[in-house]
Parts: sequence; C-alpha cells; structure tokens
Amino acid sequence: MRLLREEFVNSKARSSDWIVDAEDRLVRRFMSGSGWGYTQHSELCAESTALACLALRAQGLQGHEASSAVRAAAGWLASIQQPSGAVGISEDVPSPTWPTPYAILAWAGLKERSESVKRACDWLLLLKGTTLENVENVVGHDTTIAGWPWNAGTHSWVEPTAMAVLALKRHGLNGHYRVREGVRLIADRAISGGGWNYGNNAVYGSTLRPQPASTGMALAALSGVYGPNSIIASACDYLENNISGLRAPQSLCWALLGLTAWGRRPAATGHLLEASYERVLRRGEKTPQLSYLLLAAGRQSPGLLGIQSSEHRGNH
Amino acid sequence: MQLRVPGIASQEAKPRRITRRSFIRAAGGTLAAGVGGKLLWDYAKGPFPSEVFVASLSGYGHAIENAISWGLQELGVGRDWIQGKSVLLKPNLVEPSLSNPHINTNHAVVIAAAEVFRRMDAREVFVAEGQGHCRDTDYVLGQSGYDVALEDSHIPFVDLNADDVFSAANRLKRTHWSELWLPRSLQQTDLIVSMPKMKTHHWVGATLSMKNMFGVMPGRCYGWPKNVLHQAGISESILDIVAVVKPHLAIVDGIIGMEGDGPIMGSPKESGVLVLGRNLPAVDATCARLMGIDPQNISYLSQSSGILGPIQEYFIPQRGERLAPLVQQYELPPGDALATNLEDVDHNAGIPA
Repeated sequence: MRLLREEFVNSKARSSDWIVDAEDRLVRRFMSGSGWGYTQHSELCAESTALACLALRAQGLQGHEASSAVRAAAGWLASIQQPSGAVGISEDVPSPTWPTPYAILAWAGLKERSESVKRACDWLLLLKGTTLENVENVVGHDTTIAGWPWNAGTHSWVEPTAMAVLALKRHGLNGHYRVREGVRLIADRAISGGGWNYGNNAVYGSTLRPQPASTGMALAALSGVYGPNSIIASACDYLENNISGLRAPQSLCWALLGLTAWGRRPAATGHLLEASYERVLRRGEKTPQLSYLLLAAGRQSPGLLGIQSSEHRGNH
Repeated sequence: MQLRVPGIASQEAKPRRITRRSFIRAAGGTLAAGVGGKLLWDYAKGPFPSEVFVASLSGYGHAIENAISWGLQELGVGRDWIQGKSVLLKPNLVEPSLSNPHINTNHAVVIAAAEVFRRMDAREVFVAEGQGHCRDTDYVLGQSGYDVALEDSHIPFVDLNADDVFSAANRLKRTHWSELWLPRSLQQTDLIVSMPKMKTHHWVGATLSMKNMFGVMPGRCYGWPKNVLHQAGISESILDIVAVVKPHLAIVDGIIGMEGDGPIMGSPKESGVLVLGRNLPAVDATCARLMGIDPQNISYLSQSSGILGPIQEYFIPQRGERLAPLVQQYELPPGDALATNLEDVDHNAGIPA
C-alpha cells in the first residue's frame, strides 16, 4: 500500500511519551482483520474505525502493526460501503449513514481506496437535509438552507454538515455548490455571542449556548472557504477563553483543530493534551478518546482532515 | 441481518408552509431538549401500582437518601425487589452547563438513589445517559459535575449514545416505526429508573419521567439532536419509547426545577419536592399538578391516560406529603405547547417525506 509521504516525515514530531503510549494502546485495540469499536468489547463501527485510522495516520504510522491495522481497517470500511456509496454506522446497521464523511477522510490519499472515495463523495453530494419555508418566528436560523442531516429525510445540523464539508474539501471540491451551501449553513447557525452548538442558535428569542466541539469542527470546516470575519474571530475567542479547562478529548481535539485552522493554536497545546490523556487513563479509556487525542496532536491532522490553515486569519 | 433505523427515505422535499408545531416535529423540538421478558412488570398484565410518593426537601443534602428510602417503602419497593438486581439510573443530562445546574438532574439525587439501592443489596448500580444536545459525553459529565461525583462514589457510567444497539418491536405504534433501536445496556439490566428534572418544556409543556426516556435512544441511530423522534411526533415518540422500554420506577428531581423557557433556557424554580412512583404517567401527572399544570393539557400525558397509566388524580393514591401545600405555579413556557391538547396533533405536519 502506498502511504502519504508526509505521514512518514511526521515521525520527527513524536516527542511525547504519552503519544507513543496512546498509539500503542490504540493499535492493541485493533480487532484483527477489521477495525475498532467504541470500547474494547463493543462491536465494530464505522466512526470509531475511521477515527482510529486518521489518528494513526496523523502520527505517521509508526511501525508495521499500525500500518497494517490502518490498511485492514480501510478495507473493512470499504467492505461495508453500500452500493449507493454510503457508509452506515456498522455492518449490521447500514442506516443512518452519517459516518460516510468519516470514511472518506480515512480513505483519502490511499490509492487503493480512490474508487471508494469517489463513490462516497458522489453519494454525499446528493444527500440533503430537509428545508423548511415560512417558519413562524420560532428559531433563529434560516431553515431554507440545505446542509447535511444525521438521518436522511430530516433537518440539517452543524456536525454532519461540517464533516461533509471537510470530506468534500479533502476531495478537492472546495468550489462545489454543495460545499458553498454547507458553508452558508454553518455560518448562518453561528451563535451571536460566538461559537456553535449542535445547530440551533436561538429559540423563542433566547440565544442558546455554544459548545467547544461543535465550534472547533465548524471552524475547521470553514477554513479556506470562508472568512476571516467577526464570526470566525468570536468563535476563536470563545474557544481560547474556555480551552484551559477542557479535558474531554473530543471537545479538546476539535477546539485545538479549529484554532489551528485559523492560526491560533495555543502554546499550551502539549500540556492540555497530556493532562487530558492522564485523565482518560485514570478513568478507563475508550477508543475514540485515544483517537481524538492523537488526532489533536498530529501535525499532519489538518491535511488529513481537509483543514486549510492560514496563519493569523482568525484574529480580530 | 441488516436493520434500518426507522426514518425517512426520500431526500427531496417540496417546500410547503408549515406551522410552529410542524417545525417542532421537523427540527426545533430537539431543543427541548430488559425490554421483553426481562422486565418485572407488564402494562398488559392488568392493574399496576400507581401510587405516587411526594417528599418535601429544602435542598440537595443528606435528607435525599432518607426521602428515597421512605418513598420506596411507601411504594412497596422492598429489599426483595432490589436484591441481586442490576439497576440503571437514567438522569436527564440534556445539555452541559456548569453555570446553569437547573438544566440537569442534580447529581446529589442520583448518588443518593445509588446509595439506597446499594444498601438494598442491588447487584450493581450504574448511571446511563444518551444526551441529545452534545456528542461529547466526557464534556457533558464534566460540565454537569457528574464526572467527579460518580468517580467519588465509585458509580460506573454507561454512554448510551455509544452503546451497542439492538432493535425492538414497536408495540404501541403511535409513530410509524415498526421497531426501535435501543442500547444493549437496557437488555442487560433488571431495573430501569427514570430520574428527570422537573421542568417546563416549550414544545410539549413539561418534561418529566416519560420525556426523559428520549435519552435512552442512541444518538448514533437518531442523531444529535434526535431529530427523527421529533419528526415522528414528540408525544407519539414518548409513548412508543415508554411502552417498549417500560421503566420500572421514576424519581423526579423537583427540589430545584425549571420554569419558563424550558428545557434548557428557563429559570430555576425552588419547588422543594422529590417525586417517586412506579407508574410513569401517574408520576408525571402528579408532577404537572405540583407545577400548576393540568396534565390533560400535556399531549403525551393525555394520550397515555388509560393506556400506559392513569393521570386522573382520583386514580393516583397519594403517599408522603399532601400535594396541595406543595403546589407552586410554574411560569409556563413560551408558545402554545400547553394551550391545546392532542386534538390538534397533525400526523401529516412533519417535514414532507
């Protein structure tokens, strides 16, 4: 299998013991010939497998075991890809298909998976969240913009839209009208005080609260295709003001990736990740937690995730 | 065998005029925020205990354990009911917010319940949730104070959003679903305890022990938010979920509730009550009365009446404190969630499929 050259070059970045330890733990959790579940004893699932692939690739695939695991896991993801091109949440549960962008990102750059990527992107471009017109004055967002839903036939939300935009950007479709519409939806769902949540910014006139993971993911998705402007700046400010207390791997990962995308990666990143890792180990780690922390630490992660970083673009 | 989440196949929706209620179904309702033979009781087996116990409590102190013990005793839930059983405590952790603790079930109530069940020789007690507004469970637990509280009390937590899943037949069929996806942990436990916060809810009037069961539906099947449930009809979904999951007990945290724009943007309301019962509609109807709301005006309660349990006061034997002195009028949520009952529910009003 041909791997990205940059993934090998990245080995110089591996300076922390916790990264080596986390990678070892992740590789040990690989279920032979297949992929990863959410926990060591749970069933294989697409999201967890794709995240682990990305995390190991972000760390440069140190050693034969990691490389073999990623190769096999990418194959497993391809094996559950449906004729439509979509990827469900597991082999036995083919719907909903929101993990499809995760699979695209895990496959991207792997030559033998190029056909899977193309089919998945074609399908993703056809999937639209439902729109609503003439909504009474209940919610704060524009319900006529079509992004991507969690479940086919339902409304669009921030995370599936952001992940679709990232996957399509990774595939070089920055200028596609669906990407532009997804970007428009994400920008429209921004909360007035800064940041994003799952996708509702106000209801009955009340401004809702932002969340770090959604905010970081939205910032990552918008990189290279939107801004900079006050929406980006206030979202980065929100993350910077809250990141020192973040220990939850998923939120910390996306917060860091979002800030990185806009040239505002914190100086304390290494300390934050290490503190989170220690906490995770103390409480019993789960597979995605390891993946998120490795992904946040990997210098190649922005490229793998379709993030197009630009220094200082998110500043006021 | 391949199974699909009940949902909607068509991608192309024709624009149409929709109403507020339609939108709730379609999208915004999300703001609101043993199956089978292993269960101990069955709605179909005739009369079931509808007694409801109400305790008056001034705060989240040690008195909670005593109140729960007293309540269980009054409800006929003795050691023989608990001993050797696996007990799942399901709080409401809909959205993380350290500065707004009245959004979620206070962890002091959950810890107290766990201690009581442990003293009654439960085989295991664990907390489980599949929160609807935030994918990051670690973040939710941290922001709600549950991470430290559960760790200190050595109580395991199960993330129902990431649990393995199984499908169960939809018995009541108030929605169009033929089956429901549920987390595997529900099959592996003996007793399911719904532990909601007493709150108003701008889409359905009030969120209590029945609505709290939305949180057992795995997000990886139903999304974050669980839009599928709202599109199928919030009230109808509540009924179907409760009928399939059949929780065994409810313990409602009404010590500090939420009024106004619930379930996440409302104001704290010091109600000073803890409400327990084995029949969820009866418990929720009692809670509604404590909030100054007629249960008949809450669509899912009105629809439950006579099917999943009683909601009329006459059929709900009162235990513990007298109800009347504890009733406090909650500020009602915005919108018309309580202005009409199920008569206006439009089964075709969701997003065009």
